[in-house]
Amino acid sequence: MSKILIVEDEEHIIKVLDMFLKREGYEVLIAKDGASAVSLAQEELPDIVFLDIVLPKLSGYLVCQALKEDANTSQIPIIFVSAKAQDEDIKKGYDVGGDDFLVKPFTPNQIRAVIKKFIKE
Amino acid sequence: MKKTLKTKLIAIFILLLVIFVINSVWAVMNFNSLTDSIEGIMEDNYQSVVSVQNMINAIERQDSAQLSFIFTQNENASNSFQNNQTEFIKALTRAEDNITEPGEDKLLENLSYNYSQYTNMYQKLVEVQSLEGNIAAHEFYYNEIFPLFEILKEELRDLQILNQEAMLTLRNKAGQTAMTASYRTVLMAVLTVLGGLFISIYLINKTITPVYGLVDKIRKISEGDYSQQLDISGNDEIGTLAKEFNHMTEQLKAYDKLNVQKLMDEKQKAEAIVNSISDGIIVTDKDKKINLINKAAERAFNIRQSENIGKHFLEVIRNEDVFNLIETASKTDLDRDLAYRDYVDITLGDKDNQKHFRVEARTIRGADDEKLGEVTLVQDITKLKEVDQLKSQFVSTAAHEFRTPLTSISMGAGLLLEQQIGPLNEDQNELVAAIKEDEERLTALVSDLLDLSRMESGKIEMDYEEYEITEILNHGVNPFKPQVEKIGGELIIDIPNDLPKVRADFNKISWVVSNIVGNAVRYIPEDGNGKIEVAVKQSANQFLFSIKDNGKGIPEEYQDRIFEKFVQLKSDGVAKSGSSGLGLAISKEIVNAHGGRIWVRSKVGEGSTFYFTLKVAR
Repeated sequence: MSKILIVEDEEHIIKVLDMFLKREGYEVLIAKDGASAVSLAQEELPDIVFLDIVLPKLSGYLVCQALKEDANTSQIPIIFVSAKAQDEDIKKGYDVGGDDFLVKPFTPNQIRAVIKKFIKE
Repeated sequence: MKKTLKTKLIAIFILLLVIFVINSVWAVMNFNSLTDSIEGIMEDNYQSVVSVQNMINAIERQDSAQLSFIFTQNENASNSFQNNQTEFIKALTRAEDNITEPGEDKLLENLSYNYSQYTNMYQKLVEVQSLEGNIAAHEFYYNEIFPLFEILKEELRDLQILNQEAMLTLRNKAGQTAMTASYRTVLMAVLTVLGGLFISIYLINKTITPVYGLVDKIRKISEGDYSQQLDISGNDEIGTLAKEFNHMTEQLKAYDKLNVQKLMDEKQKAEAIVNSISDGIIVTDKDKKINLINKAAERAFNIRQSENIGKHFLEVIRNEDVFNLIETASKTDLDRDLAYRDYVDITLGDKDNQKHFRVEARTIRGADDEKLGEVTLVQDITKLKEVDQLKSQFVSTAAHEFRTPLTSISMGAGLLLEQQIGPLNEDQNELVAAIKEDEERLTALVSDLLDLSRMESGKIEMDYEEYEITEILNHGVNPFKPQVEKIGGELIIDIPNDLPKVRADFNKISWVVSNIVGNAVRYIPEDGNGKIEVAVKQSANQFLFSIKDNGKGIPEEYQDRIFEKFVQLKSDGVAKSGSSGLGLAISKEIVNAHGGRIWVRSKVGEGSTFYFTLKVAR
């Protein structure tokens, strides 16, 4: 069973994502701020990370950078999920090592497509 | 009498006439007096000649009478002698009364003396005859009387010759005098004619010269010099004319001054108005030389009108964008379209005191519609920009804040519709679908709003490169082909083969094309007659894109407004779904940012054609 880490500080979004991914058959891990996201990822080594940008303590960009710099976690696909989705935001996301960028709001099918792209069953 | 030009001319004529008459009278008088004197003298001499002839006749008859007496002693002979003696003395007396020549009196004296001897001889002859007889008388005659007779005849002949010669001399002299008189008359005539001519010319010149002066001054007046005055006195027509002329020039001068004053007043008024306008105004002529800079423009560019009149625009304001705007205005007829507004936004001033201006240029046309130059309007939009920036920030923040709740709505509704959470009945499904649809519309709106606000605040930079027109069109149009085919419509791209490349941001212009085509697709008839034609034409350094549909058309009052935000054509009171009402506003921002413009021509019931222009790549 694939492990998915959701880094998000919005309760409602956490709730729908958690519900959706569990029903899709994934193990769901949740971090509500940047700092705990990094430690959780290093501990659990998830198969994919959905990472918000605007987060308490540590921004999504820094979380991404930290994980990509760590040899253990550098192979984990990181998908930015953000309402901040202007050209420069997206560019920065890729610059710090992000593998994809989903603009909020997204649909269940968009999530499915991204997971399919990065996790070969 | 008034000295008029007419009387002057008549006077000249009369003067010439008088000279002519004087000449004639002079000549006639000359000849008359000459003739008179000649005739007088001739008559005197002629009388003397006649007298002498009479005397000769008388003395010859007396001689015959003597001879007759000698041979016949006839009483008749004696009578004849006596009679002829009377005749002779009568003639002699007449001659003595008419002595004209020198020596004539002496001759007559001798003649008179000899004649008295001669008559005495006759008495002696009578005595000799009676006393000594015929023979003696005969001898006496031959010895005494006949010689005396010969002397008398000789003297008479002398007298006759003297008078005849005198007559001849006189005649010659008279001829000479006549000749002299002729010469004098001719000389007189020549002198008077020359004098008359001279005086006439002088008088005519004196009369006419002021007219030349007048002609000269009138020419100067026609050249605009109203200070002309004629210095001509006199009471004739020219004098009057001069007076009237001077009066006229005074009036003209006053009128001109008044006009100039009026013009100055008008100019000052116009300047005051132009200067009181809070927007900057710069007027350039056909050669792009500066004609006017009002106060606001002086402040904006920190220049002085007084220092820059007549200079080339670029010399004064080194801003290529603004200059290109003026160039475009001067080279095209776009100004005829009152809705057309092309502008550039510029920033002036130092960092601490930045000012933003919107610059527009328009062609100035004369009464005959010819282009006179351009007026450039410089509007201070600093405040507007600040407000705009605040608004953009607000929109941006608000949009982000919208997206977060929209995410859970989108996901939640999506999951419900998939019925993974649980089955939905028909009504529940319909409700959740409506929620999903409105969430999607809201999402699109937020996205467009963000784009637009960033575009408006100039935060989006255009990524210019050179592209083939076909590439851009295909990218923008092709996605709609299946949709149009589905309703049996036509979607045609019509562009010439040899178009040069266009300089543009590929994605943005494709977006504009697909936005307009997308709108058209929504409005064309779905009965199989729908038609959309996309065409591009090149004119000079511009491309003209046109996207024509046979949809229901746009009412005139909407045609300008549809490029504003949130203006949507409602069909049956509901906006067509999938449209945020911002597409055309964004398209306009994109096209304007490319230095082009966008507009629409439409007629309700016939369809619409959207146009936009782009620059040809150099």
